[in-house]
Amino acid sequence: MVIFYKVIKELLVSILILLTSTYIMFVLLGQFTYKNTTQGIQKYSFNDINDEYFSWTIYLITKGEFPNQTKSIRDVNSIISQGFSRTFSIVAGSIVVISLVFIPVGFVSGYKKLKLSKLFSTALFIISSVPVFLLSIFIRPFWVNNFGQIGLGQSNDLFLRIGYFSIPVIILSIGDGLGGEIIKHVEDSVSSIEKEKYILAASARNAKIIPHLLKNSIIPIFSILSSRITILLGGALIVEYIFFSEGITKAALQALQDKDWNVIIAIAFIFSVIIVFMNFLNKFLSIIIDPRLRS
Amino acid sequence: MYYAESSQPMRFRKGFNIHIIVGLLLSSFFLLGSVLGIFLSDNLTHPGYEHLPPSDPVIKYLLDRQTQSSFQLESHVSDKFYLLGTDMEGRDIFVRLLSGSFNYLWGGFITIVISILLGIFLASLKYYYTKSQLTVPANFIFNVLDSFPRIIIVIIILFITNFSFYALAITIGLLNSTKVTMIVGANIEKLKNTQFIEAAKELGVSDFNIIIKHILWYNSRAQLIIQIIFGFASLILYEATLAYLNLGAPESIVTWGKMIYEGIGFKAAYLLKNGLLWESLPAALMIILTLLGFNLLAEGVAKRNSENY
Repeated sequence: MVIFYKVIKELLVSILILLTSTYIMFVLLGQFTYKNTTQGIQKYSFNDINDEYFSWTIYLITKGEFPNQTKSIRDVNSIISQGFSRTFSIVAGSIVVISLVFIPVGFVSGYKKLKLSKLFSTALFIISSVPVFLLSIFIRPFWVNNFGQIGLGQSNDLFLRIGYFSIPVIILSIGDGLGGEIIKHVEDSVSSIEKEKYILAASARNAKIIPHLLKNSIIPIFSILSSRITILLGGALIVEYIFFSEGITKAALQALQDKDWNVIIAIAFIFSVIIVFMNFLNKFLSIIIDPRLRS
Repeated sequence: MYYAESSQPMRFRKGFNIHIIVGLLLSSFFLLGSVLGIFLSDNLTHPGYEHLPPSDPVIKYLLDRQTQSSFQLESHVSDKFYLLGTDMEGRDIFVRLLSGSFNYLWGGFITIVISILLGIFLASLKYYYTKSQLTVPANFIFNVLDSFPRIIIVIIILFITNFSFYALAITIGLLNSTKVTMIVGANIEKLKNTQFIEAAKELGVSDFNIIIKHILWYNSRAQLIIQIIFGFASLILYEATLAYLNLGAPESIVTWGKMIYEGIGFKAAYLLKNGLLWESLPAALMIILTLLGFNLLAEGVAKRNSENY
């Protein structure tokens, strides 16, 4: 029952945080929005911003879709659905690469301390210091030469399709310091858990240590991933813009120049939902898995 | 002797490790250049233009240079020596790199001061004064700052402030303060119930002294140094990334990101064909080396302070 109340409380707090961050974004965007009045062009007042925010929120809750700006030729919902499908696939691919490659390498490096895994983590640490946009610029000519025909619709070869999407995914999971940081944190958390007394007791009784290590390192590893989601989302925008030239980044920049703030609010809202959801999931998993947090 | 060495507290360990040495070497251009940039650049607002003679129109100069490589040690216009050559508009690349590092240093100071002050303030309210009425608002502000999509907020702020470089630094400082809050908060929570803190309270030491001196300075100095290093690194990273999207600082402020954008930007095909990619390479290399240096420096400080050292 205690767990249920804690989870409900975290969920309500997350919704409140989401609504507050959306309101702040409305206030920020209202600073460079103007309206035509009988007295000429005037800046949006606080009352105008409040009216826009409440009407936007009620429309979203009642109809389940984002409202379009009046007299705008853009349909926000189609832009979001077309743009985000590719962004989310890149982000999902990066999370898969991180979960299947970097986290196991960090685990092995922290537990077994193998030289090969240490070498891999050092090399990754050096490469991940390069920003995502520089990595993308350097690798893009190679990507266009070898896999460009997929983008132009001239080939449906499975190997080429895998290469077409995997290179941006790998760049996103490595760049901006993400890959090196994740491996280092997993190494550190596994090394610190290995020194705990219950691991020593288990090894003294000749029991298997890995299940205990895995169970106790899930929470730190998941909290590392959830805290790095902002870097992943930001990098996905850049990678998508450089490799595919279309997508949510281009739509956002175009909307900012045309002052179509409904598109910007919708994009920012979806990103906030993802971040708040990951934080909520982190706390939820901590409460479920760790009995010390239930009291 | 072994017992005496192993019983030494962490903060009195002497010596640098290889990470700190290599990190300092790699980021030395940034550190030195930001100081030298003030003295070597005659004109901070438009650095590198001073070599153009006033009688030559810029267009004639560009037309003359179209058939020549941009990597030249001597300008055909003046007798001045250019260490790294000039760009397409005739500006000294080396001087612009120095000016860029000087601008990043100033912006970095703003970012760090804001993130550390706000981070310590929020962490104290959240973790030290747990029974105060301000704990819940501090918690809420922390969660709201943490939930912002950073790059979108930074882009919005840039549009509002007409691409001001210092507004970017302030925004990054505010967004980075959540990380400082978490780190400082973890240390406060770990140490606030220890005997030496209780003894300090009993002796009448003020809360400000306990938090700043006893908890942060004596026990969490290394982690704050790491956050300072990452503050500089995040400013360089954000600015360079946004400059590539043509959302960089205005003309009067030189940054490495803008140098990359001006070098590659929309002239990529022409530049590659004529071997003129030189303009972007120095700035790109400086960004890579500086960020790698900062990462190694942070890693070295963390290793020096850790129990595994």
